[in-house]
Amino acid sequence: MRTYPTRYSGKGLPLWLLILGAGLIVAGVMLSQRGFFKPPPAPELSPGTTRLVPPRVLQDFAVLDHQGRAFTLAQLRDRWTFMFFGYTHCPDICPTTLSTLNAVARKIAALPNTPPLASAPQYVFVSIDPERDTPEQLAKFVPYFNPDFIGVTGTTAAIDALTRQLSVIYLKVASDRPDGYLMDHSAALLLIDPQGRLHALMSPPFDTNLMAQDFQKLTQYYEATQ
Amino acid sequence: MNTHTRFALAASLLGGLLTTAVHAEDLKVSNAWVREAPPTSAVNAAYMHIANPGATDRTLTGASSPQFETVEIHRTEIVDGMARMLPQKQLVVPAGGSVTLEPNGLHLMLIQAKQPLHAGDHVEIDLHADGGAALKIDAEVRPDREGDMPEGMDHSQHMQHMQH
Repeated sequence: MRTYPTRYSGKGLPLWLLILGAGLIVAGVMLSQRGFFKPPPAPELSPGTTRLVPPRVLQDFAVLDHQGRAFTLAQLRDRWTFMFFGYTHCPDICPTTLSTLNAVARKIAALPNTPPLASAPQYVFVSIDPERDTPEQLAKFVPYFNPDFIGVTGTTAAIDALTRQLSVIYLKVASDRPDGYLMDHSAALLLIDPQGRLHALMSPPFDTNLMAQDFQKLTQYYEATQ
Repeated sequence: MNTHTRFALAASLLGGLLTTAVHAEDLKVSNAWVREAPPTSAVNAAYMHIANPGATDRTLTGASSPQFETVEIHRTEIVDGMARMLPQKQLVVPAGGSVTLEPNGLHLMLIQAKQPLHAGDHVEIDLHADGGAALKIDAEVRPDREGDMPEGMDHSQHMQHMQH
């Protein structure tokens, strides 16, 4: 049987392994120079959007959705949530913001390359006027703007247990008006992450394109850093 | 045609000219609309653009509508993240200028509709101007397309010329 001389046979490593090793080292250096092993840079957001670093962990709360079902911290897990605070006896900013959210929902649904959890966020309207806003009253109001939107209300104590942890404030403005009274309330939209943490807030004036873009950046960054 | 008739005719022609001149300085309201809201809503809002081509400031002192119990002039204000509505006792439309009533800003607060309103319905609104005159305007009920339209795009170019 004829044997062919093998170069480097028996001495050190075969050439192909050396080349592979050198290639891996070069690739590793290149990747690390490009930041491959570092976390991705923080998302660049529009001026109206603020990311909380770290996100704020929330304690449990117990309110009711507009169908009278329990809505607790568990309903904020495993999905992204946009949360807005208002009341149904509100002629201008609350319906305007719900219309804005409806436009945002359409734009988010149409975004390409959305992480699975971010493809269908939920939209929650929290009443800061639980005195007048029963689940039945919310059922006539919130789904009108989008059938998937959820309205929540509860006792004042239950609403406060939620709003206080989110730094949301509201104030009843008494008057002799025929419709009773007006409410002053925080105007920001809050974004809750799939771990049920306050993740970001968006402040008016709202631009639906920027909001959808910021949502995409925040959720992609979140996915990349988990 | 006797002299008396001629005089009357001349006077009425002159009167007509004067009336035209006065109307040319009246407030012009355009793009008046009411947001289509849930039919059960206790309150709603009307928005519009009010121009004053005249040489003197005009003041709106209030508004009313046969279709609502009460109408008030309000301004939504967001200060330090808090939204609040401030009733406005009056609204000045500056000479040669205009004011825009729009979502999250100045608006007419419509309180307690007598009938539910749907897209396509019309709301009659009387703007009470200085001097006790009322300006009748017609606002169309339509869905809020905020966010769907490019900035500055008018929903309607239709102008309504106000008359005393």
